[in-house]
Amino acid sequence: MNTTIVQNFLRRWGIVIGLCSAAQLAFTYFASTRETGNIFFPLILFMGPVLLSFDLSKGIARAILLLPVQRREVTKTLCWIGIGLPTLWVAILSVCSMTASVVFDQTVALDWSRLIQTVITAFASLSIVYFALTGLPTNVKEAQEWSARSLFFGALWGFSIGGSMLFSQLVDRSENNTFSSYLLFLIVGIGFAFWGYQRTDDMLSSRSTGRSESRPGPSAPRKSFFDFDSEATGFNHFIVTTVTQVFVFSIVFIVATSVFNTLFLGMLTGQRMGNTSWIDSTVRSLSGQSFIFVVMPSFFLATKLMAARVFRSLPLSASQLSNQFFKLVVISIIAQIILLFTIMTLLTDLASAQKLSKEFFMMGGIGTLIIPLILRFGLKSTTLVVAMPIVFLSALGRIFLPEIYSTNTSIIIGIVAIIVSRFLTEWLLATSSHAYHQLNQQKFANAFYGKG
Amino acid sequence: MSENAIEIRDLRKSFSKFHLGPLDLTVPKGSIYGFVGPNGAGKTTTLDLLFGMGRRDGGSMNLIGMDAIENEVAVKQRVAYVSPDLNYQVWSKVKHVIKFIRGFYDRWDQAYCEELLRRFKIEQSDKIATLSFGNKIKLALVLALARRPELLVLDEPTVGLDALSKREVFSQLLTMIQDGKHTILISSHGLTDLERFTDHIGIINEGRMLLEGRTDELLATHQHIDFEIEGELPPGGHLVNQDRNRHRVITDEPENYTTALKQRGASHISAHPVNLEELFIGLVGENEE
Repeated sequence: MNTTIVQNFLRRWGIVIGLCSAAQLAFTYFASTRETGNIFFPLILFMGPVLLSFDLSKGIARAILLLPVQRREVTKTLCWIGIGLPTLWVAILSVCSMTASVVFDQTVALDWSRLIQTVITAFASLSIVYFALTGLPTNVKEAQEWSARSLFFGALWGFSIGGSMLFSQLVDRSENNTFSSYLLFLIVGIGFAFWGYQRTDDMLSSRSTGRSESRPGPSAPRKSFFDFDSEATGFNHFIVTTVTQVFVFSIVFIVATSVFNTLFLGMLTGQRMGNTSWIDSTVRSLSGQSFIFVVMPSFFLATKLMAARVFRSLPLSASQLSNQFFKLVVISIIAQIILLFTIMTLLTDLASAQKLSKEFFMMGGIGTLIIPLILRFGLKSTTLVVAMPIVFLSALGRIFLPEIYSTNTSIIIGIVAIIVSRFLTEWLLATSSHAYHQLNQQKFANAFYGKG
Repeated sequence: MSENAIEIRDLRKSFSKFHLGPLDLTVPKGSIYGFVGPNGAGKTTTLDLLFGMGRRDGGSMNLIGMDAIENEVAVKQRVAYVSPDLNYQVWSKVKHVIKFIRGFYDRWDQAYCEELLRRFKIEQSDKIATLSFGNKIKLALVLALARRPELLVLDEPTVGLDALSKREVFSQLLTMIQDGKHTILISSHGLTDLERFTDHIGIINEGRMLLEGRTDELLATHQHIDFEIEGELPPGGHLVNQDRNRHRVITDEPENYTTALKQRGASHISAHPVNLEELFIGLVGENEE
């Protein structure tokens, strides 16, 4: 393992890791005092593979491979950064927070089995996410054609977050054989870690070239799902295609979550599709990951802001442009909520679905704050530092402040958040030059939309 | 009705480490105006302010006879902007971005758009991410020209273009301006291209306009004067070079300057015409010192 690369990684991402650590510490502390069980907290993924993915999208693979360091050593170093180091760090943080809970809350005893479960959950989820990272699309051909491979790895990347959360909750509530479940999860983690290690070298090679393996041929016209063959389109078509993209992505996500529950968790807990346990886990999974669904519209729009200069040079005022952006986001959020409401009504009952819909709307509204944030700071570590608490705390608030989330207050908070975001966006589009001068935007555009 | 396509007066904008202005800039209708300056001089900031990307601290900006901010939408209907920073990757394919952009312009000329794409060898089915850097600039130019703008503003349009592509681009620009109704402003630090294609020039440095006017007149009035002198130089010249008592200055009053030199006992005096690059280095170099 090369310590210089590790130190450099920690120096560059120190602030983000520090904030994630603080949040992890607080969460483990509250979880242990409130006896909410071994709830896995997905922020730890930011300490390793997610930050690594940002580095890779900026082209770090090429820089690392040019260093006078053996390939084998580089591979071990990346695995250590992606899996080993964050697992070790989670273990240390967990010990600290559990010790704190024993000291400050005398009724709670130090629970070593819970510590081991937390570390295993963290290790397994980090391994799965790291493995997914090795297969994520690296060039335009893969990224834009939605190949089966990129879909698989992308889905794995997304589901491992919610899956790990769900797993820890389900096993904690399960009365039978917790030890064997965790043992199995540990074996799964070791398997993915080993597989990820094997694939690291290929990942570095493919990401260091910068060009797609083959330039797409000039034309073989391909009718894509989003390719509405109309005349001049303008913003309405843009809104329709973006909302459709978000909607289709959500359906794929929901279907995959159900399949994940049926196959993966079915093996662990013996649940079968359609039975009460399966419905319970699917509902938990969807509501647990709801922030992903409702924040997704804002995130999709944020990716479109890479073209801020193009939008601003159009014959639209800052106000008109903001209206178009928020039309897109609000329609998307409502579409997502209708989709989730329908599924929840089918799986549970109308009252539960209504309650969840209010939560979703509030989280979606708060999520729109990402748009002015990205306009102001661009997609870089500063934005992550500010955006992460917004996204995750809006989701975690459901656990600690359920009385706000399930009432009509949540709808008012959601509406206020959307209005504030809308006016902040207009103000930033009209007055700030930051939105148009983000070097990282090009790097992010390359990472998200692929590069040639 | 104003005879100028762009009139900027007393424009000011301050950042923590850079101050633009007070800046005056005048682009006559029907001209090709070269907006020249070193990196960080304030060219892009000025153009960004014209298109509402950032808010001015003071001053006025008129485009095609209208205030650029008050009549933002009407101005943008008739003015196009090209820059290497325009990112079209969001639309994935060339045909998608064309459909998106043309929806905003009544005067969009689809036939001209297709002709330009053919000429620049860009396919409508091409993926934008796979276009070379030069082709991305050409695509931006196609999207700008096809809306038949009265004023075309180009920010560093030749960056990354090879010699052939540059010739193609400038040939299209010259075609556009032939009828005298269209105006082009090109911001660049590629001086050789601008000298050939522009008829007006403005040299900016550290946020201030150093010199502005017709290119041929500026080049005709400015001259290099080489001479040897002991002691102080007469006023009215920009020192370009000095080697012991051997000096080279640029002046816009060569006859008066030569007379002043002779009065101060200078010897080996010779005057030479300047090209744009020499004029630029003379003005900006002195300013840097």
